[in-house]
Amino acid sequence: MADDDVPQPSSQYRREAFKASAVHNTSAQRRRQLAVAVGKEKREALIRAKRLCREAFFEDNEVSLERDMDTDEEKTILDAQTSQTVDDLKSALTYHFLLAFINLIGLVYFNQNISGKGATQKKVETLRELRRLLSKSEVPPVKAALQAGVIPLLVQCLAFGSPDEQLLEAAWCLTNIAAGDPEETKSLMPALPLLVAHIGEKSLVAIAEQCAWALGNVAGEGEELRNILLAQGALLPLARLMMSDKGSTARTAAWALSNLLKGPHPKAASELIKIKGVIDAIVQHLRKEDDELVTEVAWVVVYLSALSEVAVGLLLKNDVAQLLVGKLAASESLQLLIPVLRSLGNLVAADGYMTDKILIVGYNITEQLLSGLIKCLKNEHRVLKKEAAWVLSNIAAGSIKHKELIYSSEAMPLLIHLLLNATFDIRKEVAYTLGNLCVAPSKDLEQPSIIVHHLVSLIEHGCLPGFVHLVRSVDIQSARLGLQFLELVMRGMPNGEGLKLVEEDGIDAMERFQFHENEEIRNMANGLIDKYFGEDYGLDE
Amino acid sequence: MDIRPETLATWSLRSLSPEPQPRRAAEASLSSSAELPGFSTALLQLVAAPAVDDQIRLAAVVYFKNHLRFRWAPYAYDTASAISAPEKELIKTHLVAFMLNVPPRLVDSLRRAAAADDYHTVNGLLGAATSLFSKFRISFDNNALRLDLKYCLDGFAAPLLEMFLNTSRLISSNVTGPPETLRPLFESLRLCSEIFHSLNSIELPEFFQDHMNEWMSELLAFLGTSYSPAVEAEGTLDALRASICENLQLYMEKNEEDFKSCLGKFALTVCQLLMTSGSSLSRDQLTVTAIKFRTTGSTSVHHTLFGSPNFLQGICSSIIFPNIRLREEDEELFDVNYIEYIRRDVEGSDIDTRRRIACELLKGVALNYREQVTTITSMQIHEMLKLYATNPIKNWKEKDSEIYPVVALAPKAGSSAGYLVDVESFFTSIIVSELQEQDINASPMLKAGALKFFTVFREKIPKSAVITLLPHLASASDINPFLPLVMTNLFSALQLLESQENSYIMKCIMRVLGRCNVSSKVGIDRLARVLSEVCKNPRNPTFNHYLFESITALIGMSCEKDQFLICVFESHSFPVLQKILVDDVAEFWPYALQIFAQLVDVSKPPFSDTYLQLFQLLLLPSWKRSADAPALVQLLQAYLQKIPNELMTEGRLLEVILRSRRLLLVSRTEELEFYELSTVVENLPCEIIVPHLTNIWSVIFSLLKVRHVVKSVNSFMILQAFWIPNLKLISGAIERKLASVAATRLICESSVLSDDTFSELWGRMLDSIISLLAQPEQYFEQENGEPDLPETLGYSATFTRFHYGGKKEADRLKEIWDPKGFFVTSISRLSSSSPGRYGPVIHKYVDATNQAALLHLCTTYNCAIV
Repeated sequence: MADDDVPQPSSQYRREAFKASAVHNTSAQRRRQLAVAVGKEKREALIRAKRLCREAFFEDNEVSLERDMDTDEEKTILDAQTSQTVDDLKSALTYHFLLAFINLIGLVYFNQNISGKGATQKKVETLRELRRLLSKSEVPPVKAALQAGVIPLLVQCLAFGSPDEQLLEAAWCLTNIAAGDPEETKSLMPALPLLVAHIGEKSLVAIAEQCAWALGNVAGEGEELRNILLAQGALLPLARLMMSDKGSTARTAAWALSNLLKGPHPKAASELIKIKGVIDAIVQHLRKEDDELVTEVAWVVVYLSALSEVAVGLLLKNDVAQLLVGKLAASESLQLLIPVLRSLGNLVAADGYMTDKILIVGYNITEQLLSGLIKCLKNEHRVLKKEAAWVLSNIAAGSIKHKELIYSSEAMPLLIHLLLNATFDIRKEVAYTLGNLCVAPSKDLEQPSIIVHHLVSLIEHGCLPGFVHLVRSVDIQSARLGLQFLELVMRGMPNGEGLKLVEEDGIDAMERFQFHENEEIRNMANGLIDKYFGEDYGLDE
Repeated sequence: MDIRPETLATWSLRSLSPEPQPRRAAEASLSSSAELPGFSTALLQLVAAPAVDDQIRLAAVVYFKNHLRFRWAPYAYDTASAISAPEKELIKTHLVAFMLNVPPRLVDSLRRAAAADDYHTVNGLLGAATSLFSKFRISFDNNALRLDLKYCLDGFAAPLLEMFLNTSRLISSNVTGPPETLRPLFESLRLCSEIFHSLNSIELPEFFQDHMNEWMSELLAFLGTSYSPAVEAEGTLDALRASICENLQLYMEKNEEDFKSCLGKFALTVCQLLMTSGSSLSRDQLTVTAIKFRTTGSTSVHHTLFGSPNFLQGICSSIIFPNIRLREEDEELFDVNYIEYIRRDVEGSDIDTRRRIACELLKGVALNYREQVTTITSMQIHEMLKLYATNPIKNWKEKDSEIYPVVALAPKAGSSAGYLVDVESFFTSIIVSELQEQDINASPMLKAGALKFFTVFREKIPKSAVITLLPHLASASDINPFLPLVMTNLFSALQLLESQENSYIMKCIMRVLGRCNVSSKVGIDRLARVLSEVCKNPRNPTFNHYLFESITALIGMSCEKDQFLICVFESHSFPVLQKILVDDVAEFWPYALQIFAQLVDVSKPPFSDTYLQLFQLLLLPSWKRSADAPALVQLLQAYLQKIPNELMTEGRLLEVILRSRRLLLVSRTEELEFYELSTVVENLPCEIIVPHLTNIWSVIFSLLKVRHVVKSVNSFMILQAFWIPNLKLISGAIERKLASVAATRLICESSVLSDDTFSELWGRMLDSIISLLAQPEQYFEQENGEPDLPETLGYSATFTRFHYGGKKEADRLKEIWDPKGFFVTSISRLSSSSPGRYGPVIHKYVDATNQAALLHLCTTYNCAIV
């Protein structure tokens, strides 16, 4: 759905060879989420992708959050001020150049400093003024600044050897420009090499952090800019910055990294995991109590686990799953729970190791995870519900014991309720979970056998209409899922009861595929109808 | 041969000809010139020439594709010559450039055409885009699809909106214009709306979310605004609205949260639209989709939007019941295109008709408001009944409108939901009177409805009531007394206008012939006549299938018992069947051959000349057609079983064998040839076949060599490299039995293998046999029901085994009924001949689990290996 901002694994989407005569139930498979996102990043993600910097990392008492300027009139004034300030900056830079030249002459001929300090002062003050203007409102006057030609000036200010304060202010200005529209973000292109250079180890931490922020905004824009940043070598210094002990620095770097890792191409993720110390830093940060830091690091884990098999192996080996489950159980923070859930989901979906070796039924961690998921299913927030159902569906694709554990847990009534009442995307995930609970794991391509008492109980609790509803869905994937469940019902319900149940409403629902353009689903539906409701159906009675 | 593009163009065009003669000639010319160097590039030139007619280019490009497929890298033993290396290079360079040139840059062309107000071109381009993008609707979500979608969205989402807004502005500045000017504009919007649907199918794309308000207010406007009556009456606007409703449906289901704010407005507008809905045909699609939208609404979490009592009453009386009522178009359909009517009404493929969809809405509303709806409905039914009673002849539609929802809303067996009415009393009071009416031609549609009611509720209706009805229906359980009448009626039904190829009637004939002994020549004669009629232009595969089934049923039921009838049959049907072969009616070959096989089977030798001539068929290249092969095998089998000696003495058999040798070496036909050879070997007595065996073996061994299965041919290598590893892969009950018995006899009876030097081979072989026998038995019960194939029956020639005339596959080893027992007793006998010798071999070479399995087998059959 639309909030799948998180590009998922280069997933193998397995499709089994399909025979009309034998409808295989494919639902008992782990499902990864798809790597290519078409939809918009939803609000909680949008806040993440690009961020304005409104407060300094360092002591700066002058910056106070002024009232937002939203009226048109105020906007016009702000724009005018901005253009003026950019012009001031321009002349300050020219003046500075002139002064530097004069100074050179003075040094040579008079052996004394004519000026310098004052000019630099002037320049920094103008920059600070500009930065304030750009930080003031919800909608910073980026357009005006760009029109006034601010980028080359800022690039100039980022030159090596410039005073720290100047670097900081320039990077800050760039950060907020990059937080704007796509075009505005792209305008940063000439500044990128210098920004990357300033996150290196020789820079002051505050400057590196501010540059990382700017880069994070750029990376948040899209694949094209991400690729440019990767080509310019932003990954390694950002990774090193994430190893910092300073909370805010590690957090900013992690956030920028998570933006940089977003797929769909998995290259960045597989390179990051190879960098020495990254996995240790992740583990170390995840142990901390700093929710904001943990949130950002968890997002890094989301992308790593989604895009790199190697990363999945390393994360599991380093007990990241246990740390995440701990956070899931303990935290109530939505911002934190989302990436934690998503990471756990990716880990479960990526590798049988997770269900086979870590989430062993009877271990504490398994109980903890299940109760964490139940907590999320009960949560008001849609995304949490959906993610939790997805994770659960993948656990439900595990062993018989996993299925029995979920079946006998508090999750069942919740899932059944959601199947019949929730919104589309949640219903779909829940349906996968419930479907998985009804089929025993099978190794080969043979039809999986049915866990009859789970199926019977689902039917008794009125789940069938929920699945029939899916068959009618405009979403073809859901429709297939619905059909697969109907197949289970017809094949698995004792005493041939399934046929009667499906006949009620299911046949009508299946009929819509009789001439459907999608061959697989057409064959599936027609095959089921022929097999179970062929010519002779009902004659024996 | 000449391969100038102009010549190729002529041939390509002729290869599309409906006339067989020029078509075959053109195909032959193409395939013989395909051998020439430069053919593929010449073909490509033709394809790339924009001046050439599209039809020709299409035919040429299809041929080009097949040409490359067979000749780009043919198998070494294939006869087709390969395309030369320089030509391949040439193709590689040109093909890419060509593909880049052909699809015009869509968006640019669109903009240009729109700017010039050339809506003819705009709609052409949009139409192309629509079909291009439809894959996003119908394919399963995966990463590759999403990448494509992303690409399309980047290029098309913004221009699409721009296009929609521009066209919409153009319409509003032209509101009073005549329908002819507005039509292409609405059509254009409809196409945009279809593309909108496709692009939004996977998930809500960023662009569409950002511009949702613009889109939704546009869509709402076209649902809510009415135009001049002339424009309204013209279908295009309604088609646009229908498409919009589908989009709403999509958004409501998948993007519930984002769409919530718009839902109320749309719900209201759609409702108004439905209530003002005219009953013209052009409105149908709109009504259907709009009601669907309402149905989804009424069952969704937002159903409270639709819940007030007035609203419910309004929905029922203004939307549901008016749409259930039969309209003139339905009557027309019933009269003119009864097949479509049957398909829709009786077989239930009416999912998208107004009537059915209205019932769906009724069901949907009833989901949350059952009591209210039941009350409203029963009142409505009562009203209609009264109206009908006042004048049954004029008001028969009222009665139909009450039967329909009762049938449509029938809860299926085992359901908890109640019936809309009391079925039994409804049946006796309303339905029976209709079915017992003397004049069978009065209110036929009402009768069709009543019959449908009868079939749907047959379980609910007491037997006594059914029996009294029997004389009125032609579906008695024992139809023998009525047989002649039934047959005459059925065949005369085939004479009715538009009913000449009615597959329902033919199916009925098939059933009757399959169960009853129709010992009349009339049937034969009539079927032959129908057959010769359809031969002229085979167009309805379902009908034809049932026709041939009827013929075999007739042979099976009648001719087998009465040799005289065979002669009758021959005299009637041979001309037609021969015509099929001579005219090469490819669709019918498999059928005709099966009938011949069946005839050979039931006839007693000596055979007439006709049959001997027929044997020549088996020597024709027709074996190449894979659809014919199984039927040819049946025919060959029939001959071999009936007159093996005659065939032998005339040397015909040798011909068959020699020819198979040739065909075996071509990869495409080898499987069929094995089929043919095994038929020969199986059906002939040993002494006839022995002289030819060396011949056959050499063919098979050289084949193994070609396939690199074994490097040098010697029989032990074959055992080691081919037989042993592949033995356990054999599937099929009969095949498995055959293989295990053969292998058992080999290790137990061959003197060569009993030599000590081959003990490893012996052990491995034993191991394979045990693996084979240890596999779980898979007996697939042949289904006994009639194969009901019409949906899959295509228009090309396919082989479909007859249900009535078909034979079961024969077990070639009837004397050995239990391969496991045979195996264990053989081994045990062998070991007792030299005790102590085989124990160590088994221990050494047989897999541990198989050893256990062997032991188990020994105990089961009470044997021992000593």
